[in-house]
Amino acid sequence: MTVIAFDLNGKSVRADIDPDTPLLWAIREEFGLTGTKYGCGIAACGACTVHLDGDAVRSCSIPVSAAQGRKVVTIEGLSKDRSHPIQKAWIAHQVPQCGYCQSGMIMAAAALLAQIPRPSDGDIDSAITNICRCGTYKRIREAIHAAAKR
Amino acid sequence: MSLSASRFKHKIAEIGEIVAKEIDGVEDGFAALDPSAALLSRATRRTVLKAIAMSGVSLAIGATLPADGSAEAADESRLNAWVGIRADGKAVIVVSQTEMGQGISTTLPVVLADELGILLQDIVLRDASFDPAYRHPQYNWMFTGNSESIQAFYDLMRRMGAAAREMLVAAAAQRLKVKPEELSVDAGKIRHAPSGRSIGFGAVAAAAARLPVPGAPKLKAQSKLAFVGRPVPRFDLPAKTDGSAKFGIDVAVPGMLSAALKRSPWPGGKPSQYSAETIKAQPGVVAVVELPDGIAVVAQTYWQARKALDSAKITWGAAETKDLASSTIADDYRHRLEQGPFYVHLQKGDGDAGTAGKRMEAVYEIPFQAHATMEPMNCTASVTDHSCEIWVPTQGMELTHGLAMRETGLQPEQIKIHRTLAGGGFGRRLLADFVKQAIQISKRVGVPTKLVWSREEDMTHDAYRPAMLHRISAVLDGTGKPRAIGHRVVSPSHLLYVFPRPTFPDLKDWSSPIAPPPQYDSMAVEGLISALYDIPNQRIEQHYYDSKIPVSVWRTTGHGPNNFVLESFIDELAAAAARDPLELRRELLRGNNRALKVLDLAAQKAGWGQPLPPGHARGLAFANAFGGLIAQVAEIEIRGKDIKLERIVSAVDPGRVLDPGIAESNIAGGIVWGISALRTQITFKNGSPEQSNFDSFDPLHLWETPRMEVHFIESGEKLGGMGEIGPVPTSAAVCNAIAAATGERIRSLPITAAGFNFV
Repeated sequence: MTVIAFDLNGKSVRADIDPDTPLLWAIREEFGLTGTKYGCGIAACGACTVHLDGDAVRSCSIPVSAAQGRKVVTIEGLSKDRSHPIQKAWIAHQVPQCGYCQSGMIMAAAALLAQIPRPSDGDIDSAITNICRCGTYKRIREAIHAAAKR
Repeated sequence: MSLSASRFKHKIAEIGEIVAKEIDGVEDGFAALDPSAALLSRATRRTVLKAIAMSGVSLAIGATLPADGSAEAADESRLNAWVGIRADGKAVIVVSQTEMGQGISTTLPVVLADELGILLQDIVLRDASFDPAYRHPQYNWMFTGNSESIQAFYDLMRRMGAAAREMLVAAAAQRLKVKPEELSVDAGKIRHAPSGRSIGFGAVAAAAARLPVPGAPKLKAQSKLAFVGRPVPRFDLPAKTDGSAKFGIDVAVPGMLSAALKRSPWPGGKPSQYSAETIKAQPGVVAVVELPDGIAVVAQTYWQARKALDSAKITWGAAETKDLASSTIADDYRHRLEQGPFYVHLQKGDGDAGTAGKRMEAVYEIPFQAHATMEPMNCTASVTDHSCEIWVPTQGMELTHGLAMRETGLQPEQIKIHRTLAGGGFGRRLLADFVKQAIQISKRVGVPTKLVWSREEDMTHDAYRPAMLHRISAVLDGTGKPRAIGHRVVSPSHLLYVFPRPTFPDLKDWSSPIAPPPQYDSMAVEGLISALYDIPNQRIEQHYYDSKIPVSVWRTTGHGPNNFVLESFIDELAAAAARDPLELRRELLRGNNRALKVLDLAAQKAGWGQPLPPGHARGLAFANAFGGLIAQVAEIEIRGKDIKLERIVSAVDPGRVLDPGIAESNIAGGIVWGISALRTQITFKNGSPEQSNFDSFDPLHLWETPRMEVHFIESGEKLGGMGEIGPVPTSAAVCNAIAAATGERIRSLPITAAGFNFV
């Protein structure tokens, strides 16, 4: 067990935890934030996407020790009131279906907009590699374009 | 996803006398199997409503009130089992169907609210627990599947909304001392125009709840419905954009432990050697629970349980399934295709012999598929000597409830099921295998326990969409038009685990498969019997394959595979006669104006027949499935074996479209499902699936997704379902485009086996 301390959604947190615990399970079980989802555990599906110092990362495949001293933002910390342009666009375009992959999709899309404010279709193709079994991809693309225009 | 006597009767009517004779005694057979289902199948929705109405408010509040834990507030007045009015005027509407992405928790409550006369912002949803009041009105069975929720509950929702409205109006009439006919209802208010007075729902709700429930409430004219037919913002979406939506995997119960599970790599194997002591010595581990075919590790957190389990050395006992391999299974299927025996689902005219003419024949192969819901199977259970509480994302409320009774020996009212949002269902969550495990684990450790399957467990212990083998044949007239068609299908039952069981006291084992009698198992040939093509001679046969691999229903059930075969073969016939695939289908649908409209709309919107750039091609497919009609045109660009999906245009006639926004999302998402199934498969080696995660089972991604256009036609015919019709024609449409571009006909899925892939 090791004490790991980092910034989670703007708050300083610390935990005495097995340092090999995936960041995903630390977020869900140690800090009780369940918006970040487990989908595959091998960084293939992206349901666990969070921001680590602003970059979209797959938290199932990063040990919690890698977050030491850094800034982690989860879906719960993206905005206080669903006011992030991506969240607004997601509702305006009625993107989610079952919704399970959508926290990861939104975090990936938000990171894309932060880096490329007006992404092309090609930029979206490259950045949004998460899996959605309901098949919401069409509306995801439309919503990202809409959010970029705001 | 189950058959009812009534649905089967429909099929008898459809397939004519010859088959009806062959399956004589079907009614009795069904009644013997499930008396309550047979009884209910004879009841119309209206009599169901009456039964509920006659039972009155006391029953609605007593025995049949949703036992969902969210007990009604003191200021809520229940008007029937589906709706109550709070003192503040808001309507509490019960959601009977599982929300798994299809939008049903918006559409059905909105239908009721529209009839009631209340604004969308005044709706409060309450998720139903298991309760007989919320059973499917025809099957007498509580479940969500087979694209049936709208078809089954639309009329009932309207009548329940109308009945509640009439009670509120009657109470307001007494209060205002006027005749009910002088009152009108709008936006939660009852207005008396002559005197200019009005009164809110909340003010008369308590009085209304004491009035008799009208047996035959008067429904609003279609034109007076404010929301039905318009896109409504889904109620479940805001929570799905900020992380607050609670799925089964997110359940937290005080004192709860978490469990990870590893089961035998081959079906039916038992753990033979492992060290429970070594596992227990790992950090956080509380208990090791041996299940009949697996080992569960229970720990303070899921990750602790998972880590301890992953590090454990477990050897597994042999089972007869240990040598199962895809190659030998395929050989077995081919052997059965030659040897039979076959059950004849349909014989029409001279069967597949028909008149003299050119004969064509082809064999098509369909692989096993995993559901791979994004949320892996999970269940939280808290079992004591006197109670069993379950939190679970399930489509199969009735199965779950029955299984809990059997596993615990408790009475129906001692079982409490909290249904959560489901991170995908696609048929997988109709089964209750994971519920049984969670109950067994909680019983053993004596505290609430959340069982979460790893992705690997989920993919390697699915009840898969069965593999199917299909010989299709046709006899053609001089113009290349089929005069006879024959289907020989080798398939397991899709219904083994989900076929409605006998009533509770007769339960045997709800977690074991039961094979319905072959005459009920028409799911293996669905889409063939209901094909709309005018072919006078037909024979449709099935060999029931007793699969050792667990199989069950999967989004599109038999419709998907059967449509792939039929619609690919129609294109083969067109190619052989050098006829245009659209024109041949138009001739086969001559006189069916509803079908022609759908076909023509898709063709017109896709620019069928117009020139394409080099390397581009179009493919067409048509289906009659899940109560609606659909045509799709796929346009692809092909370079060598690399396929770029350019565009898929759909025309859909589901009778009426209750919510165009939600309907479009179901079709577009369904197409992605259909395309994914062109390249995913589950294969077996040494009794185990060779795919275990999203690296080797590779669904479609955003960058591979084509542009999609969905066009609706509202013929006004009987309502169809939207959840599964979208992907039904997709496989054939894409493969017909591949054949048009390359001349290569794909008769065996996935397309990757022939070297193709999407880019």
